[in-house]
Amino acid sequence: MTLVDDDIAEIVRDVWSSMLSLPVAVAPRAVGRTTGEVAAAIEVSGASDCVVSLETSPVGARAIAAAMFGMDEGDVTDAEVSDAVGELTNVIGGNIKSLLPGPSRLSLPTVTLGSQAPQRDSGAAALSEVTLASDGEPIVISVWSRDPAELERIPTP
Amino acid sequence: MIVLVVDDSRVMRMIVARTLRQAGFEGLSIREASDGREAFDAIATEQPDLVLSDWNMPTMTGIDLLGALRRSGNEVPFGFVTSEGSKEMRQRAEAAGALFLIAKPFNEDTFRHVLMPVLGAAR
Repeated sequence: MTLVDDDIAEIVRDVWSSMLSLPVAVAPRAVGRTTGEVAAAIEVSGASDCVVSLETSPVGARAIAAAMFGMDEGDVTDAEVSDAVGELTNVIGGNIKSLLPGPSRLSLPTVTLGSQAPQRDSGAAALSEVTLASDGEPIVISVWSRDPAELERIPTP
Repeated sequence: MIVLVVDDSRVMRMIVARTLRQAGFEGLSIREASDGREAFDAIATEQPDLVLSDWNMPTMTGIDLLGALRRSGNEVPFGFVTSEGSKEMRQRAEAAGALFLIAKPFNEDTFRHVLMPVLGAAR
C-alpha cells in the first residue's frame, strides 16, 4: 500500500471503532470485487477536485445502519441505511479532505442502494482504493481525482 | 439545560445525543434541527443553552447559521460537530464566534473534555 492508502485505512479503522464499535481490517482486493450494490459518494471541490466513494454489500450496509442507530439489523429501513451510509461517507470524506491540498469544499453525500454501478466519474483517475472487511462484509473506499495533476500534489511526509 | 443538536443526518443527531449521555451529561433536554434554517427558528423559540451544529448541511450551513445568529445579536454558546477538523476550518469557526470544533469521529472522552466548561452544571 502507498502512504495515502495507509492514511485512509487508519481513518476507516478510527471511524469503525468510534462510531460503529465493529471490527474492520484491510483485506485482499478480491474481497471487494462483489461490492457496488450499496454505494455512497461525496465530492471535494476547490484546490483539490476529487470524489470519495464507499461501497459495501447490502448486508454490510445494514450492519452499519444497525450499529449507528443501535437497532437490530432486521429492523432497519432503507431510509436508515441510506442515512447511516451517507453520514459515514461524510465523515470519511471530511477526514480524507484534510489530507488533500486546500482550501476545498465538501459536498453533501449521495447514496445509491441496489445499484451495481459504483458512483464513479468516468473521467476520474484513481488516487487510491482501499479494500477492508468488517465481519466478513467488504468495505471499499476509493478516492477518484478529476485532476490528473492531483496525484503529484498529494503531500508526502 | 437545553442543548440544540443540528445535523441533517438523523443518525448523527442520535449519536450526538447518545454521546452526551455517555459523557455523563444526564440532565439535558435535547432538541433537534435538521438544517441551519430550522435551527435559526428553533433557537429563537427554544432559547437553548448550547447549540451543537454540523457544518455541512442543505438549505443553510452551520457556519451560515452562526453568522446569521451573531448578526441578529444572538450570542448563544455555539460549537461545531463536523467531519472536517482541519486547521483552516477551526480558524474559520473561531473567527465566526464558535467556542469549539469537535471533529467526527468523536467519543465520550472528547465530549467530556470539550463540553465540561459549558455543560458542567448538567453532570
